[in-house]
Amino acid sequence: MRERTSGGLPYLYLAPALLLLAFLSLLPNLYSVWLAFTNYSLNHYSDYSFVGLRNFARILQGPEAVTFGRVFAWTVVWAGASVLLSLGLGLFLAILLNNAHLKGRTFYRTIFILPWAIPAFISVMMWQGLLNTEFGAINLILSNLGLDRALAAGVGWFTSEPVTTPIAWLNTPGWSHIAVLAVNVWLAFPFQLTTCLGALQSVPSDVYEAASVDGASAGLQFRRITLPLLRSALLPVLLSSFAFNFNQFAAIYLLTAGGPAVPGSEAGATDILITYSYKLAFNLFQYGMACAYAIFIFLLVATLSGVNFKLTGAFEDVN
Amino acid sequence: MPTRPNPFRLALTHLVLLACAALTVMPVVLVLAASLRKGSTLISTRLFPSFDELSLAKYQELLTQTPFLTWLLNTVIVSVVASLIALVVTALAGYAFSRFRFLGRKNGLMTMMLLQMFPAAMAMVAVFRLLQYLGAATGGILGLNSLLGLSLVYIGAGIPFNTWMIKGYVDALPRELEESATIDGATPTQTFLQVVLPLMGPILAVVAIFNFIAPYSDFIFPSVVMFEESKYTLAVGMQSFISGNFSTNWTLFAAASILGAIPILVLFFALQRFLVEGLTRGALKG
Repeated sequence: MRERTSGGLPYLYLAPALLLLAFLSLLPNLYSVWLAFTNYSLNHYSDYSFVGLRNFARILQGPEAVTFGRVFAWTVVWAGASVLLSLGLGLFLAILLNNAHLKGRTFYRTIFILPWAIPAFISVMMWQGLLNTEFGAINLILSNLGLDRALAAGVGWFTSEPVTTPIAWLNTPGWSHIAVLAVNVWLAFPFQLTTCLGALQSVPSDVYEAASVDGASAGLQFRRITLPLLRSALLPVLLSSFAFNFNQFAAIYLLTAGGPAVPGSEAGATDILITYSYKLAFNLFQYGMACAYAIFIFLLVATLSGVNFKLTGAFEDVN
Repeated sequence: MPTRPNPFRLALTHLVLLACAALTVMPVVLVLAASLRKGSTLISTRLFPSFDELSLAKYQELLTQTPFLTWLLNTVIVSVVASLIALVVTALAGYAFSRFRFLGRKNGLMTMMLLQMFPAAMAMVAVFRLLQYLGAATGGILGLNSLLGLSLVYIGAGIPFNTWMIKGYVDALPRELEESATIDGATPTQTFLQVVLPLMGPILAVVAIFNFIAPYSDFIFPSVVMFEESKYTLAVGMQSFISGNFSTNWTLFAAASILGAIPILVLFFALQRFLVEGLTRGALKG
């Protein structure tokens, strides 16, 4: 199309979006950066002032540093394990479904997309009830099947601590970590399945036919054709899913509320950075500290996005 | 990929898929079963109600004795307002980025790409303060406890991603029609409204639905800015069912889950193809 330079008209079209963006996205973000350098809290609600790097120093030194280290480590494990497990399951199911001889593929796909189609807050609250220690259906099913003791003994073997039944899914450190991860995998695998299936179906079938003619086994074809092609398609998905899970607030907060409590710390055993920041702000009214934590999250997500943009060349493509 | 079907392998595949499918639907089936009970508690030695135990009593109680319908209405208002405003604003912006060439275009697009990476939740304290100010400035029309104020939060958060999606769609539209309209003397705005806008139908539908589903499904912002029970959205209201004593409200909560999930389920499955394509494409792009 002819390059049309249309004077002020483009800016008129953009004005509403830019105004709303400036006011509702840019302004709050800059404002929360500012608050991270203040002592804004319940004690300094109307008379808060600039305190320099004090919030950051508090996070990185003394007792709070222990909490920060623990929450940060769990956030990374949580996001990493969530992505790998949901991608692993999604890829496994996609490979099974990507079979022209298989009947009922639409049926399976409809079932597998269900967790994606239910609002996440509803599913997570459902799981909270189902995982209830005394009354939850999960423990009822496990004990009916006689699996609860076996499961407890199996996990007890790893943790080298006695494990009791009924299993306190949401109230003991080890089990609550397993529970939040399991629920998050249930929530996230449909998306990974859909992306994997899309990537698998984009591989032209004559590539495989040629490989078969040359005598390559199915295993070899998978390693040499499918995996390399998937890797380039899935790496950006992997990174953006990791960033997404970093901020997966609802799955933690509505299941365990970050709990169970850890003695000597405001952050619970399953708190990730975003839920802890939320707690600091709206339960403990330490707004400045909450914003300082948000800056750490921002830096981590920014780094991941930077890597992602670099890998996909997204910036070079802007046109 | 095997060229001949191996019956043993196919049977094994079905077995594995069926097991996974059963685990996937299990929580939903259990909650559906709970919602059809008469009693109120989780306490039961049987997972499924017996046939003569089946009842819609919990649904009736939910609709008549709890603010469920108010919360649902609040949620729908917030989601519809957010969706409509986002639609108008990003249709204009996406079109401008696609068809016009102007100073700052490339930087604007890059800024949008950067902004879409950062979830609004990171600025929740600032959003809370902003709505506090707005409430004081507008006499409560836009502030805390205001449905309109809450929808503003979602509009701001969604603009970058939506603008990119619409721009991408318009980029792929053929330009001949617009060119002939211009030759026939149509102004750029006439061209946009009468030629391009009708062609943008599919992408506008996707954007409208994304921007309906996102506020509907959000928990974090209504929990931060809504304090009055009459202003709760479904997410916050349903949490109030379970945060007190979950075991006594379980069946009532189950009924609310089923009713609350239906609108989104229907939308999702009706438009699955568009939505899945749009969402995964957005993800693949970064």
